[in-house]
Amino acid sequence: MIMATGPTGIKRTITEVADETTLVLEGVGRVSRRVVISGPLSVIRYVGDVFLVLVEAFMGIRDTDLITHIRQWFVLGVQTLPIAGTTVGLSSAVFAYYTVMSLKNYGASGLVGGIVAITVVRETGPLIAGIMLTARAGSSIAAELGAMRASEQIDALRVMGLSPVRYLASSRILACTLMLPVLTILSDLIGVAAGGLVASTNGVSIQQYITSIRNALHHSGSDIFEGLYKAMVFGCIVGVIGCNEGLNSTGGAAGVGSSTIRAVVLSLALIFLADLLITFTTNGGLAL
Amino acid sequence: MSTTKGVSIRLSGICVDHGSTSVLKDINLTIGPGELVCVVGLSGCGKSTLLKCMSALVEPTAGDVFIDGVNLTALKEADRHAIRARMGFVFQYAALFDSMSVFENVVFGIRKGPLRDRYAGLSRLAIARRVTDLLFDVGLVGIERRMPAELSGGMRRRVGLARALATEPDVILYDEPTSGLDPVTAAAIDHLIVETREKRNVTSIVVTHDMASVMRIADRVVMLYGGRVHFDGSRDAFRDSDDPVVRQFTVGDVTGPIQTRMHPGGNRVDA
Repeated sequence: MIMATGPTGIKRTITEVADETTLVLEGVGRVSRRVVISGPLSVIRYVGDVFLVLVEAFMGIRDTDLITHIRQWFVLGVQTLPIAGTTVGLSSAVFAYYTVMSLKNYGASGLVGGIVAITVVRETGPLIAGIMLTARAGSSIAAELGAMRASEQIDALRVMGLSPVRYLASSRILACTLMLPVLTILSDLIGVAAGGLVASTNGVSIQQYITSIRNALHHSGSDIFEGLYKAMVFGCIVGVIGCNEGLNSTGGAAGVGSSTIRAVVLSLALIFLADLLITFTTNGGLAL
Repeated sequence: MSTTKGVSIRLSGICVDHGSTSVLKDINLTIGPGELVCVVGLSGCGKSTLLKCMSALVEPTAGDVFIDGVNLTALKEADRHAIRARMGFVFQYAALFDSMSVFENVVFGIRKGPLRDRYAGLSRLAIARRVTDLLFDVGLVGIERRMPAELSGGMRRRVGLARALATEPDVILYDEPTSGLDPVTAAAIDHLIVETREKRNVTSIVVTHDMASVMRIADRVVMLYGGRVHFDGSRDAFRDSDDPVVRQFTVGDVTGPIQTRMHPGGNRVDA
């Protein structure tokens, strides 16, 4: 009988070695199939689910009464303003400080207002406000709907002949989509003002700062509209992902935690991806 | 209060798998209009899953659910709303909406459900009176403004029953309505179930493992064991059955064909 010696010194027949090799190869095949086929399939299925939630939520906007809409605008939007305004203001102050310090070397510190304004209005304003909305509203939506699912309240809605997406998700997705641009405008104002405060303490007059902003921002308002467009998309992402994760939460209290984490992580990843795509598509693409 | 006609429910070859575990295997059952059927069985045997299959809250792996001849499982989710609107579901822990008061919970189906047009002509006063009457029927008075968190378990179940009755359903599905309740409250809930059936002729399916309840309310008893229908007959036949599994279950004996050890998947070792 042909024998083979393994690393442990135990002698095995060629048939045993072949069997083990087959098992290993089968394992590799299973994992590969999961990664190559099941992975992309589950991504496609998830995207499809999210799209269906979005469509049904959009169709359900008119079914939801105005009081419910206003309550969601307040809870998800207005209550996020302090943290969004604060974080955009602080980051803008830091950005203005570094910018004015760098420009001083070239004797161009008077340009700081324009640079801060463009950066805040087009990028950091909507982005940071979107991140704050994710942290505050996206997590809250996923946790609230997940808890409702765990306590069978979602089932109660379904058995009463109501669509949970229309009844619960419509108002939340709309609130996120409409309120993030509002938050962005207010955060932009706070950010630009904070930048002006830092610039003025570093040798740039307020007049210079404002003039630089006027010269830098496009008169058509395209810079502002790009930021608001981004904010609407980010808000929609936060709302729809939060709702989808919450409504599909499984596994009781632990499942609520998991779905909340997934909602936050996925929303943030998609916000950054959407930011990249919108920036390149609205500004003529990559200069390759 | 109006009398409803009740509906017939037919389950044909229902199978439900959770992962690799078969929870229900080839369940065939027909329940007539106005019948009060108790579904009994060991914990984790699939009673609640069966109830949720009847309302399409759980999709069966195989088989069909017919409500008055309409195949509920074949319908799209959006098309199921009209049939579900004819159902009331009393959840095990009531599933009241936390953010709403008792009044808002009870009136929810009337104001928001698919049958809201039926109640569109009612004035606010008439609706308020209706809610008060429903709560009175389930033995609750003056709690309309309270929030669910302020209620005891028994009160929550009663509010859940009032909510289920609000839209005058043709069938009510009760998921362990008396579990965890003291004997007096459990008896009161049982009385409500029987009274509701007698007043409105609703088809009633009660999932329970409370033998005292079964003996008080059931017209017919269906026992699930090992994922299948093990017994289907009258309450008296169930009580007097010589079947060793039924005997062990009704007596509550540790020794017998029913094993108390369970597989990780939830099945008994012999199931």
